[in-house]
Amino acid sequence: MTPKRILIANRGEIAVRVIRACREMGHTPLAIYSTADRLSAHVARADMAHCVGDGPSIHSYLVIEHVIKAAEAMKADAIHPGYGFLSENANFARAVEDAGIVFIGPTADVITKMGDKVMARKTMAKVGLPLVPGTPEGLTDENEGLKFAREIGFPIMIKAVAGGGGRGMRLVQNEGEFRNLFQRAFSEASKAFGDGRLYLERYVSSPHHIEVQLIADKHGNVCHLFERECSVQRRHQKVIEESPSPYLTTDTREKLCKAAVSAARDIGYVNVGTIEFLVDEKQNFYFMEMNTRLQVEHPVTEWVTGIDLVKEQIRVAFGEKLSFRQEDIRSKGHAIEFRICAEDPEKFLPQAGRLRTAQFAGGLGVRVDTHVYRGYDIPVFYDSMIAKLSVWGRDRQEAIHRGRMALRETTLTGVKTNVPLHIQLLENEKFVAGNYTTKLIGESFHYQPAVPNENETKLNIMAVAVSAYHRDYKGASDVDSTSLWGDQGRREGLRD
Amino acid sequence: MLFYIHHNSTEYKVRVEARHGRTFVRFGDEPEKEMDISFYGHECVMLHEQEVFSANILGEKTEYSVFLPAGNLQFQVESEYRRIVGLLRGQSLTNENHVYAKMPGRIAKLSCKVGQEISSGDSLLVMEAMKMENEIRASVSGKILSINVKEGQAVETGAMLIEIEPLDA
Repeated sequence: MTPKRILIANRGEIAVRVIRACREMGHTPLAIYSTADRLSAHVARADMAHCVGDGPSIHSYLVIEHVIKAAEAMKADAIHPGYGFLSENANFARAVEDAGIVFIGPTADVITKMGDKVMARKTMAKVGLPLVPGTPEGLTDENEGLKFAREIGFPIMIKAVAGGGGRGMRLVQNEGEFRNLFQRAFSEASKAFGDGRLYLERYVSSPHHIEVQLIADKHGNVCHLFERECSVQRRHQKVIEESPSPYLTTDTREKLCKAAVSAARDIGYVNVGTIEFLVDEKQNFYFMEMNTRLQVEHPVTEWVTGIDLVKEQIRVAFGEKLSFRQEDIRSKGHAIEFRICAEDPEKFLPQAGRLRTAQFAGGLGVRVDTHVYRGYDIPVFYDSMIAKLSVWGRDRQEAIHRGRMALRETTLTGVKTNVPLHIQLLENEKFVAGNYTTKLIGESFHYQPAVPNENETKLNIMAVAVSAYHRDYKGASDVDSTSLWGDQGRREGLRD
Repeated sequence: MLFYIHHNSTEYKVRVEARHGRTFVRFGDEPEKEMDISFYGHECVMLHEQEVFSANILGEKTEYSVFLPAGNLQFQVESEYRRIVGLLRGQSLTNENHVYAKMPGRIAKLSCKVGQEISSGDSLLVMEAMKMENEIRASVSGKILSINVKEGQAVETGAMLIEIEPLDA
């Protein structure tokens, strides 16, 4: 493959991830950034970078014309959309093709079919994937919605037609809550996707959220790269993902992967994609949605298969054949990914601010994908995820032990992060036993703030006292100093 | 330097001294011990009876956070120096909500009543000192618990004038 110029139409850790693949393959990585992201690591690591607008993504990363203009200015041969932002926007894929640039993803037609969740349900029903009962069309009117909701029966899930990432999604327990939650989902979906249409689905209680990774080239080869278990969620957003799923039986796994491959083949899918399924307590699976892009959690699949998904994406986008056949792919060992977010671990509220320490873990079987560093300011405009820590072990138990070690080594200060939440999740009986559903957080797991014992408290207090003593102590830390009182006064800003 | 450290509504007294490059700590009434403690930026590594204690400690004015794998701990740190200066200036860390006289003077006018709900920034009283009238405003929102002075009364520095029960306490 001759060297190409590849624009990454994204930010943060995924932009850094794609840049790594470009570098390995000898391609030239080109970045875009908003004014708020000027100091993000993805800009520093690219060869060229083009500003696409102000902080809010509707003024920058979501403006198709700005991204195309950047691609033309930097003479890009191809655009990798990453995940989120314009990655599942068919108009964007079309605009890229119209500009004579290769879009690293499926065709605009397939994105349209799968991006509209209602149309996706129809398409998948046609190719034989089982569905959870739901509305046949997208809705914007709450009264019409309520009528359908009564037909399907409560509890019910409201989902965004253009959805993804848990946005615009609400669980409605009863009729009384319906109007309010419908409105909130509508406004959230409008803001996140520029399309407020919603659809309703019967609520499957205590399901597993399991997805199959697919990859297809333009020569009709479609392969699956096994499944990922993504049932550890909060607010319908994934927190931990692992592969293989500790829940699926060998028989179900085989059926699930086969069904996903045949569906992808039937719709003429090209590039990487993921079909998400709900799996109930009887191992029945239902099509949930298809993500026509690279997933956040792709590292767990890369760990167990050894295949670099981004490199493969780039190769197939330029018309090359997949570098492997289905029978070459083996899943080896066990991988777990932890999404590290700048958020309060108790209330899940996102935090903005400056990272005063950013130390990540290392060692065998540990991978960190991030764009942050010590002194990095977390902007308020984007997702709160600041890093992905993923680990691999020969079996699930080893992966869990490695995860505990790596999380303990991860030191992020200045803002609250969910690292302590992950550490506690890895101590949860149900998680450790691999016996959990999407209800884990909230039902069987509750975050407990740290409570040190007497001796630990004493050590902490002594360390804090010495730290206070040394704070901003730039001169001699010795009794020989001219005046301790004067020094202390200056340190505390009480005198000049 | 003596530090008063508040954690989970308990006050701990810790004396820290550096002598000839060595750090000595006295925890409460325990005998003084030499501490093997080093800092790199915010990172603190302490060896205590051969046990390694390692944490990131961040201080912002009097608020200290210790970042540990299991979660963060909060401490309020007041040095002896700050406490004395604070007392002289009529401020107290432990009772920041109350209003103290910051200088000797005379209460010219009271503009609040016991039981009244006030918002941060509301005028509480006017104090005449050094021939100037100074308006004293509430620094927190809350309810007036007690007023310990009358109009016309002369007060000394540090006298507690008004007790306020903060709203979110």
